[in-house]
Amino acid sequence: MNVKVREEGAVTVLEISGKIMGGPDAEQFHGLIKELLADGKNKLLVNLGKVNWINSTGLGILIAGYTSVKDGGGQFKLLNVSERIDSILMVTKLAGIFDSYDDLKSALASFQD
Amino acid sequence: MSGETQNGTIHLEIPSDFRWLDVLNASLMAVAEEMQWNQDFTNEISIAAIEAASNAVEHGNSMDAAKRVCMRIRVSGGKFMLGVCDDGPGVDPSVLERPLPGPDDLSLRGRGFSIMKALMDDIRFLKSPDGRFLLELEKALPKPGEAE
Repeated sequence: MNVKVREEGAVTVLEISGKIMGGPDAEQFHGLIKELLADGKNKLLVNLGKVNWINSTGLGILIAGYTSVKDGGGQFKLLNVSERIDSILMVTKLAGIFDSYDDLKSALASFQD
Repeated sequence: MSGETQNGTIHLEIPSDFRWLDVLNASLMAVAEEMQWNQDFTNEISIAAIEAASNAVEHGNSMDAAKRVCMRIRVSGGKFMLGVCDDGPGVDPSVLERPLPGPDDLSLRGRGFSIMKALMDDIRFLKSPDGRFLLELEKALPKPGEAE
């Protein structure tokens, strides 16, 4: 899993590519979320458009990110969820937990002050 | 196209490292294309296969790249079958009875076998001929012309 971070106004966009599979990915992602929250960046948009696939452990990584940001009073949303990832979210009944968008403009507009 | 993997079973063996799971997925895609399976079916077996193989890498072989994960793909008798073996102690069969965490339960783990169970028709815990733990997944093939 590779993560690139960029700013879109008040929103921090995490561009993830590769596979979200657990192992070292979990620590890497958790550490990044902690850093961002410590810097006061708590509006996070996670772009999954270049993610090849995710497994149940990778799903746990996203859940941990969502929980940390929510507990920190922030917002954690998903962008470009593929059909494959959506299938996994549906099967695991987690589709309703994550606020997800198909285009950047709508996603950015959805963040509240 | 015969609808079966002629001459038996396709065998693969990869080091226990997530990056080699692409080999499994590419093989499944090639079989799916050859068999002309629809997108939904292909997606479902691929998700379940990656879940099974990543379990073998992470839990069975404890991320030890010196260990091997073997996989066998077979299409026969109207069924797709995938076997995944590793060097781990195996899995408690009661894991299949465990309910899927509810939508409000944000547990970080405990969904892997639920995903496989939801997408496949049968899951079996066996021993491979060389005595390794073998997880076998089975799913009936889509009927010809079945909508995607």
